[in-house]
Formats: sequence, C-alpha cells, structure tokens
Amino acid sequence: MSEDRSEAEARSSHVPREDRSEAEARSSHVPREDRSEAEARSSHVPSEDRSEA
Amino acid sequence: MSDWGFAGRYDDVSGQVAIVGIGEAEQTSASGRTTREIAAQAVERALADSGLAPGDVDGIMRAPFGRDQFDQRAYHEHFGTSHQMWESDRGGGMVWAGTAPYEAARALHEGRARHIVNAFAVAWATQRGEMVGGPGEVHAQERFKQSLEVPFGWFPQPVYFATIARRHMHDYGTTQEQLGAIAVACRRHANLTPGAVMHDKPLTMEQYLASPAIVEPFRKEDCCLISDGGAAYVMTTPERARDLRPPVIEVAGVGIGSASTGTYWSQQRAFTSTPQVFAAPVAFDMAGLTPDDVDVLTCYDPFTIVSLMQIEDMGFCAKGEGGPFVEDDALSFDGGRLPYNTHGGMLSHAYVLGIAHVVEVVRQLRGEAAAQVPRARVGVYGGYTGPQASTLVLTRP
Repeated sequence: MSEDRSEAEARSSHVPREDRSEAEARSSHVPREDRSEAEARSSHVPSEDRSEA
Repeated sequence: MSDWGFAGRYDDVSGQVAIVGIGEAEQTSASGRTTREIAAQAVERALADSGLAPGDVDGIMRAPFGRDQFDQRAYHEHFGTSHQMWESDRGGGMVWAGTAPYEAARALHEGRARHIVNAFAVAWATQRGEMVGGPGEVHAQERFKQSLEVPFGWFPQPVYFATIARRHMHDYGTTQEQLGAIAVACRRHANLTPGAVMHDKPLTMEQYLASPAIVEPFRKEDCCLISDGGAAYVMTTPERARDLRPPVIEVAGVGIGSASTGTYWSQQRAFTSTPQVFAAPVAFDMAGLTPDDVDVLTCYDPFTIVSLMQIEDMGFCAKGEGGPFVEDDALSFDGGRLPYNTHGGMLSHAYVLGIAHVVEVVRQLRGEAAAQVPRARVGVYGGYTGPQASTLVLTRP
C-alpha cells in the first residue's frame, strides 16, 4: 500500500483500515493476527468497530 | 427469531448522567475545513451552551476510528489548556453516540472525570474530491468483500441496503411509497431546521416517486447525504447539572445489541432486522419505560429502510408492519404518531453519523427544537453500524 493510498483511506472512509485493526485488537481477546481467520472460521466474533452503513 | 444476536451486559446507569451542553458545527456541503476545525467549533458551542469553561472539562470521548478526531491533544491545542483529561475512544457517532453516556457514567462514578465532552466531526464533502472510490472504498479493501461480495455485485453500501429493502418488500409487502414517506418526512423537518444541509429544498411524494432509481428500489432521496459537519455534547452527573443551565436532561436507559452471526450483513441470518432487537429492550427496561412512552425518536438513518427496520425492531410496531406504520405523516413532528428525525436526519439534515441526532433529542426535551414536538419529555436515539445497534433513552424529569 502506497503512502498516498493509505492517506486517502484515512481521509475517505468511515473506518480507516489500520485504525480499525488496532481498535479491534484492543477491543477483544482475539489476538490480532488470528482475528481475520477467526472471523472467517466462525461468525461468533462480531467486529465491534466496523460499520456496514 | 432472536437467536442471531445478543444484548450487551450493561449495569443500570439510569439517572446517573445528564447532558448539560449541546453544540453543532455548521453543517455544510464542501467547506474547505478540516475535521478538527469542525469538531472544535462543535465543542466550543457545546461548552458555551453548558456554561462551562474549557478548563472545567476533564473528560473527552471520540470515535474508535479516524486519525483526525478531536482528541485530548487537539482539545488543548485549540483551547490553550494543559490539564489532565480522562480520554476514551468509545465515543463519537454511530452506535457510540448512544453508548458514550454509559461509558461516561462509569467514568463519572469512578471519579475519573467531572465533565465529559463527546464529539464527532467529518469533512467528507471537502475530501470527496480526493477520494478514489467514495465512502465505500474502505469496504472495497476488505478481503471478505473482495472474495465473497463484490464478485456477486454486492457493493457498495446503497446496493447492500437496496437488497435488504427488496427483501423487506418481498417478505412484508412494504411499498415504494412507504419508503418515500420516510424521506419526505425527514425533508420536511430539515426544511424547518435552519442549519440543515437540505434546508429550503422541499420534497413531495410526487417528486420522490419521479426521481430516477439509482439502485432499485432506492432513489437518491432514500440515501444519506455526504456533508461536512459535526456535533458535540457535554455530560456530567445530574447533581452537578442542577448548577448548570436548566432544564436537566437525564440519561434514563442505554442498551447495545450485537449480531453474533458475523460482522458483515451478508452473514446476517435475520436479513431484514437490526440488532435493535437486542438493544432496545435493555434500554427501555433500564429506563422503566416502553416505546409507547416515547415522544420523539431519532435513528441513525443511512437509508430509508434502516429507519423502517429500526422502528420495527425497537418495538414501535410489530415486525413487518413498519411500512403501514410510517404512512400518512405518521413521522411528522406536528401530530404524527411517532415524531421521527425531527431535524431531518442523515437523509436531509447532515451526515454526521448520528451525533446530531442526540443533540436534536436534547433540544426537543428542552423545548428548543425548530420542529418542536409539543411537551416532549421522553426522547430516544437509535445508533447503528450494521453488526451493532444501540438505544439511548433520554428524559426530562
């Protein structure tokens, strides 16, 4: 990801990707590296800090 | 069917928090301002409304996302202060505009702060010209969506919610006109609200129906604005509130609900429901009230169908009956059965993700709203992200 892209995301989205990952890592007991796999395997771990809306 | 989610376990905080100051930044189209400049204006106005000085506020809440929100450092830079502040990223807009008072109640109770401001702002209209793909871009970067949603045309947000609207129409017979009734009511309220982005832009049902579809069944009027703006509110204990400006507006109940079937709407088992099913009963129980007691409702409303679903899921009518429920001026401030988004909501007031909805409820309960509901004493905000929803019940004792 280029620097420009990263900045554009931060400016243009509801939930910048990097911040969301950090927030998710802080907000749950699922280790950060395992979070996406856990989400893929099981849907019992709602991601608290993202939005569909 | 209620096995697809759960309510968060909240302690009873009824009567422990009051909202003593509210402020809105100018809600505009592209303004050239930065997010922090907008937030600072909202916080300044909220402090002025409360009668507190910048040095009196020792708690600050901001959104859990976004690098440019108004944090402690920005607060001190703007106001020239340097005191220690309790700080939380469990605030801002969306769901958190509704749950921030719960977090504040705990901080006030534990003595970590005496006066707490929750603020949120966006400059997305200004930034729009720099966007690569608009607000949906972050969704496009997600592998889940890239792999399992985008290839099937499930992208971006208007498409998700148009599909949900279609399903609601199929399952319950909801009509285009019923969705339009929500858009028209919100626009009417915005036309009465001087600060609304769509002020002086009337919308009739005929105009709504004649508007071209952007993704069936949605017209652009079914979709929220993109705007620059923000809002803030100041919280303290009811005891301290009695020394500040009257009337005291208290937090009577808070609830949060989450879907357990997944983060993404395509994983939802209850495709036409929101986690308000779980959040609202907790908040109403805490408040000792029912939906029948509510004088004014505001809900996070990215699309008309999200308003309709939340009205159902919070218990204002039975599931599937939201369409008939919103017909015939039912949502109007002046005589409607459920005065709704009386400032215009995100469809017609401003796209500041719900925090201005809380400000509007406080205005209503004070008796200071532009589209004032007579004798409003109980007001509710419904916060929403998709996988989560929150309910905040405010009262004027």
